[in-house]
Amino acid sequence: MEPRPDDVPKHFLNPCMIFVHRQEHLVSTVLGSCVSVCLWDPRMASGGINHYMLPLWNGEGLATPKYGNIAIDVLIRKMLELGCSKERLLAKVFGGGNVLNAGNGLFPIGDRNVAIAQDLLLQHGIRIAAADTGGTRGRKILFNTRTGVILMGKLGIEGTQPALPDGRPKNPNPFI
Amino acid sequence: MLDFQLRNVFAAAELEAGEAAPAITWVDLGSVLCDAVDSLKHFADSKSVKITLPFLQSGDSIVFPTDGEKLRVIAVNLIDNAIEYSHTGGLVEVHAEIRDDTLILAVKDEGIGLSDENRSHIFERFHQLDSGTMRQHHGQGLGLSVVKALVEFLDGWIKVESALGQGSCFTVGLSKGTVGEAFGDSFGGDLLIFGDGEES
Repeated sequence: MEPRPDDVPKHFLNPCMIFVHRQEHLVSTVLGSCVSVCLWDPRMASGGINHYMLPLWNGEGLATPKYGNIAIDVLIRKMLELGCSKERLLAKVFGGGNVLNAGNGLFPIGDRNVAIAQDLLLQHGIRIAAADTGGTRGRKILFNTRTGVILMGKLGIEGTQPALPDGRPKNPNPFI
Repeated sequence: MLDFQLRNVFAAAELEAGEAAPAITWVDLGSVLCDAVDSLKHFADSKSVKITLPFLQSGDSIVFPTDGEKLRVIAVNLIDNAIEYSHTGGLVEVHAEIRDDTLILAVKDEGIGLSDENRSHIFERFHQLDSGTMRQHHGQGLGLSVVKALVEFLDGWIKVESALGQGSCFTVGLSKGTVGEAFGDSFGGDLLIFGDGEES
């Protein structure tokens, strides 16, 4: 019997975290310049998601999923440990908004976060089935790990910091 | 001490696996920091190092919304580090205050201090000021890398002020955490649906 939406376990994914589960979950997260890569195996009907803040680990400190190159590799590894096949995996990529409007002429952090996802997924041979990235607004996503369906809403108004719609105060960290 | 080192290994493994979840509650700083100091009392006594917590003298309790267990790991590592690199009979001061909605935790020692070169490496994994078979200091060199990762995980910052032979001061700033369930499935404005396969 199909579980009712209210019965599906819910999980809020904080930055620097990875969520992979064999059973159906609704996973939500809020993205500014951060990026989430969602992976889904249609045959296994299982999915996983990460939420990273910066593109590359520079070797200092712990190799945590705060960094895209770590977060994507760990997410893929956990999906494979679950029994998923890399050949079947579909990726969806969200976030990477340039919400800081730094205007300093450098390659913006949001764009770099998206670029590392594209590069690494290509290296792993994982197809990006859908993406909504860039721009100047934050995003909120809700990922169903069984169906692979993702709902996405844009936050705030064009050119401003993302405001959270669920009543939580704005996070002062602009990287989230 | 074994328990403390194991906690660091578990904390590092949890952080690197992306499985460390913030458990934000209102935390009594005096309680957490006294507990951290108590857990290192034996080590401090063995070096006759005195640890003071001047912020407790006012008698007012300071509460702050953060992850108490992670704050404890941060504090234990910083205090342990301060004792480790203190001279026998030295003094370690633990300061805490809330400034502009940020928890400021500072651990200051009068120990051997850091050279500019060492300061740039102290947050690396398995890095210690002395290494090899003749090394004089305990631990695996994991503590400060765990501290830095935990601080960043809690949306904070860490800085080090130090001069060779004059001691060190590690200062951590933590932003206010959000107490309660963060999950929300309401969306404002336009909603896009990305189906079970191809782009929509």
